[in-house]
Amino acid sequence: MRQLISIEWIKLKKLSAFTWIILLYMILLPLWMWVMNLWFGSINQQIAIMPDTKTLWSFPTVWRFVTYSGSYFNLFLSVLIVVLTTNEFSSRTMRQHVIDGLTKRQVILSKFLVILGISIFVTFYAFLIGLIFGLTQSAKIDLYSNIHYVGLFFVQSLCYFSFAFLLSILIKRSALSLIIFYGVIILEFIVSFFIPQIVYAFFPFKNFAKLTPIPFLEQLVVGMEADMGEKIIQFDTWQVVSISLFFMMLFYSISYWRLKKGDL
Amino acid sequence: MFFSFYSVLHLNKTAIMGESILNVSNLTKNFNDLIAVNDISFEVKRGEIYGILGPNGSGKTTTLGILLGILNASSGSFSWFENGESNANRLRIGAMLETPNFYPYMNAIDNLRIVARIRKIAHEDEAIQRVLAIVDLTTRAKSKFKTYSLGMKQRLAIGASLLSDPEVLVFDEPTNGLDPLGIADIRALIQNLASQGKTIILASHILDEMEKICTKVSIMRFGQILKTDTLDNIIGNRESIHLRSNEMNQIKVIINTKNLDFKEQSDSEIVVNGTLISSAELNKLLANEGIFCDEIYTKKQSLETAFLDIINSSNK
Repeated sequence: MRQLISIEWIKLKKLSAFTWIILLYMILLPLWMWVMNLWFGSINQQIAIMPDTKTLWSFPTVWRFVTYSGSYFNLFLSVLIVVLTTNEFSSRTMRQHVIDGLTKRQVILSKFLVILGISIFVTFYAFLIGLIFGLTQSAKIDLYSNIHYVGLFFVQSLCYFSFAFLLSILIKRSALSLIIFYGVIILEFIVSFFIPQIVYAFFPFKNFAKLTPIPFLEQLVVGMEADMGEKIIQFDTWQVVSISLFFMMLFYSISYWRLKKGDL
Repeated sequence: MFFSFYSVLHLNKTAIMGESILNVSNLTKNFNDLIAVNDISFEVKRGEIYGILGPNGSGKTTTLGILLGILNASSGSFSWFENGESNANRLRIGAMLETPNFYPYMNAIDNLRIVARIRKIAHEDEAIQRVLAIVDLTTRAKSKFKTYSLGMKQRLAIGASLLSDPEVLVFDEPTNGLDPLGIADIRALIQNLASQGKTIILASHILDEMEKICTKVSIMRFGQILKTDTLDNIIGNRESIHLRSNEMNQIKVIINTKNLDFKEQSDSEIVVNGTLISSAELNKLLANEGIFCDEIYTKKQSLETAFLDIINSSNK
């Protein structure tokens, strides 16, 4: 394990795209939260069902706010996973690693460790931002309520990155992998209008997104149910986590199967 | 040049000749309808410099790809070190397949460090400096790989294969992109490594290079092995007799009456197959007819001639 981490770290620290994308994330996350704040403010002016947006920056809502805002960056950071993985194909280093003695299982494991490391970092940064805003903006310090959303954000990062990894393994080209990555997410959303909601509730990206729901979701759902006159299907958190983890495992299993059965 | 650093190589010279290093049995690889490797079998013994010869597209690289774990065989099997197809075998093999594969944005040291970590080399800095010296890249060690010439990239790949001082080396077209001096250096390096007990498997279509290095060869075409033998047996003892004279028409008539094979090199030179007649006998035969050649000399058959004979006979 340490061997694989040290190998991947040599690659990452010398890759300027990695440094720039991570720096961009660190700068853009707080800015994006500010944009989100303005957006929620505008919604609030139209639908007066949500609490004051000032609560977004305070405990305990700040955890939901930072993870919901950060969820958009999981889509953005997937670019990094695609670049890191497809680089191995374009420079043919993945096959050289196997020639040099790594097993295909170790190849998959090393990339999983990279994904795990990046997920830990982005989650820790989101936690830090939430903590700073929470401590400076809250009238009452309640650190622990809603903090589980930080953990859910971590699972969400892993899931999106795993899908990006799978596509990179299958397609091997960065541009095409990214087009398909975003295309599939959009396609799933479009499909949702044509299939029963009970089926759509089991779709992967629907569940990934539900890990970090929009703040004030409960109030919005009540409002929407009132408008529609029917009950919206809502899984509980553990069901959403289980479905998401199932898809993550599926993505890695397919990746491993593809590497094992296919030629490098 | 770089092979002047051989003294830093500490290799085991007590190799046991004859021990099986690689055993390939009925190996086949299909790419959809194309049979890239067709039921090939061969054995490589410790200490051999084993050449896999063949024109482009004959299946050399595909064969090595299967043996090095990056391609899956469609059928058949192979065994390294009498230990089957285990992944662990590859840690005992240094290999360069087709093109040098490194991270373009990293320098030679970092690229070699990755190889060293994969191969779990204990004193990696020493090992890296050692191979950089062997392949004469010490002064460019901190330059990014993408700034290297093709020859430098090739040398770095050879250096990487030597990093863990492996028992077996597998090189696919090792002199690609090298200038004549570089080719001579690689040849000397390979011979030196072999003299120290290393087993070397070489794939190439450059016959001259293989003739100078290999002890045993397999000749491949269309995915099949046409012949496997020692280099001496493949080339044989046949000689060609070169005759230079202004009386070529008369010479040809005499040679035809004796049913000897010959080839015209020019208006004043022919080459006679030396299998059925020696140069002395031919000279005497011509002298008896009153013909005296300006020049008569013999040449041992080259691997190229033997290769072409084998390829041509496979066409019939």
